[in-house]
Amino acid sequence: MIQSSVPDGIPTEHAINFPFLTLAEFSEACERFLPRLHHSGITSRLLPSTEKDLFDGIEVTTVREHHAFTVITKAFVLLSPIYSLPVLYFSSTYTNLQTGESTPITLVEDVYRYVVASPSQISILKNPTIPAVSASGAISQCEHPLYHDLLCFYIHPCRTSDVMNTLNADPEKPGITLQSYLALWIGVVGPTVGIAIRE
Amino acid sequence: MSVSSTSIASSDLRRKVWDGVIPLQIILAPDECRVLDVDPFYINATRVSYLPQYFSRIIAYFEPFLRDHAASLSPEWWLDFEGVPLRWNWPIGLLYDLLTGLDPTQGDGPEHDWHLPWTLILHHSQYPSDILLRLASDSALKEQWMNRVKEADFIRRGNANAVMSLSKTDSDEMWAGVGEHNFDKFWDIAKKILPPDPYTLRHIPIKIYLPSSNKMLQALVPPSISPRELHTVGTALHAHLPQLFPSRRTCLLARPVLHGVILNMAIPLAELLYECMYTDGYLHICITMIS
Repeated sequence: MIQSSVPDGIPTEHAINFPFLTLAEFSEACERFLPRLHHSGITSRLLPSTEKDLFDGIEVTTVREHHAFTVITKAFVLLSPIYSLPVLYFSSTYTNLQTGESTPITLVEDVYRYVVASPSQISILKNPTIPAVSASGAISQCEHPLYHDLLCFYIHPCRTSDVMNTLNADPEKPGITLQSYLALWIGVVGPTVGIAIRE
Repeated sequence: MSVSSTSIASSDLRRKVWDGVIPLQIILAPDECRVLDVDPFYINATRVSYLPQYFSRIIAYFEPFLRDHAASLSPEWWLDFEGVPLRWNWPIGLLYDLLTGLDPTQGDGPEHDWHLPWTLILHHSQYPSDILLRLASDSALKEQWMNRVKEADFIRRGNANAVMSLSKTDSDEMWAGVGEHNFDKFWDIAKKILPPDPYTLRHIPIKIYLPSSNKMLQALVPPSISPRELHTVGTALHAHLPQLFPSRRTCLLARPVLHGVILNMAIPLAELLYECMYTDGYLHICITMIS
């Protein structure tokens, strides 16, 4: 979808309305986060925005290698215009190593089967005690917000604000900065698509 | 539309929106048919509902003629209009207005093709899963609808607590209102999650659909520009689509259409929402070009 924005001021070190981010704050957080991804050997790039000097987000490519198949996932860290929170969108392709045939993954069950590598992450995503989560878990299919002709999946952001607030609540520590925001956030959603950053 | 008419008590306009229909003519695709010359199926689809809600009736009608009988047991059917697969997760009224390039001002000419009944081709094979969301489970539609309902609640209040704290009974009742097209079932619950005064909303849930493309603009529009000035259809379109709406008051290049009606640019958005929202809580407005 086309992001419709009102001009923001230059971001300071902290999000003004934590955990919610303005476009400028999110763009800044993306720029600060990219080196962490590269340092962890993760293929990623910033997505330039039509807005001058801003970025729409980050595109990350991950590969899951299994003896019988390979799954390539393109993940997008984008700012939801609805929630003002980062949301992880992703689309994956499954390649059968025996036949060489590749098919896009379009069923949520297949996302759980082939994309989400860890059983513990699956149970987190499907945790029914969190009412925000739909029956199928925290993942839904949707129309891609940037590339309108594409379909993808996204992880529901309803938990994001709770998790970020919890992480931010430690009185021993200073508040989460834009520098560290996405590195902490990716700890929550990253495992779904195989993104894990080094300390 | 006057401010005094804005209340969540029943309104004539809300009822009219609910009752709007698009007559459909469904033709079974030739490669799905066992026999030649199968008559089309006709049904009045309500503008605020969704295509999958009609599938069981449609498939029941065509079942004796299907080449592949197992298909009648599968939920994943799809429809096309002039070769374009229809997004089953978009309300029917929106699909019709957008895809037929509805221009309500042209209606008086004898040449004008309203595309009524709206002729759609029914398919089962080769589901276009690169274009359409999967419809592989019975809960797919409810899930998509619920996601929009939660989004709309979040947009209105800055959190989705009102929807989340609905009891399961209420939540099921609201969905039943959509599924059965029952005005009271739906609105009795919907009223619970809407604040009494639309001017207390943080933002108005609105999606704007551009013509001849899949582009959809998610705009965050507050009810008021300032304590003295309300956001109208015109001010919102001018703010978010200035190239198509250079004027806040007059349609020069394009027109906004909602439920088959050209919107008056002076209508306050907050009131428009409460009178004319779709069941997911959104104003789904499509833009048509002035020819």
